[in-house]
Amino acid sequence: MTIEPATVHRLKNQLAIIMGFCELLLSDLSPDSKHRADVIQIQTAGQSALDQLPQLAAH
Amino acid sequence: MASDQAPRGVVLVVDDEPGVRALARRILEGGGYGVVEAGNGAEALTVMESAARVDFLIADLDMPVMRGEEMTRKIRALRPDLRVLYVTAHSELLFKERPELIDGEAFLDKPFTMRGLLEAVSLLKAGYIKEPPPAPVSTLRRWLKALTGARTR
Repeated sequence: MTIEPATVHRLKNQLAIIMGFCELLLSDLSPDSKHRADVIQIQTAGQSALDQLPQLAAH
Repeated sequence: MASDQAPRGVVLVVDDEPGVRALARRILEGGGYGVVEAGNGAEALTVMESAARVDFLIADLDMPVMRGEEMTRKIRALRPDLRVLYVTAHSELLFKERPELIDGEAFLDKPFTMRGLLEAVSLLKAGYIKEPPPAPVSTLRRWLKALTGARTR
């Protein structure tokens, strides 16, 4: 499966937003917050999706 | 940012994606900057004409209505002193359109981190300080690259 470059660009933007707000949340949460691990899960999944995008891009 | 403090600078964030603008606003306001927004190049030109103060422009390159490079060229014609940070997922596109960045311009890869964005703006600001002791521009570029992954030319 391949994705058109414009779609890749939009997906990258959306993932950037998810990742960025995760980072903001992590900076606001206390070190012992029970939500910290949840946010890290979201962030890790977002990074993984971001890493896979180039492989899906149509050439 | 505390409301009784003057902002470290006012940043115009131009991006067609509202979420990216919201993210940049949160980060920059947390760093003490004032923020105004525009969703495309035409809106940005209007903001530049009406805003009381804009010190920095953060420009997405790949936008509808008016491309980021064209927008920046028009804005710089009005405000040659304006410092510009291009935020792009396609740095190769930037250098195809603009083989040479000029003083006061830098770029940052998207997606950016909180620290990366704040340091890029801060160093772009520092790079324009004309008073002694001025660090050589090449040194600032090395710092920028080493600290944030942002690159200047």
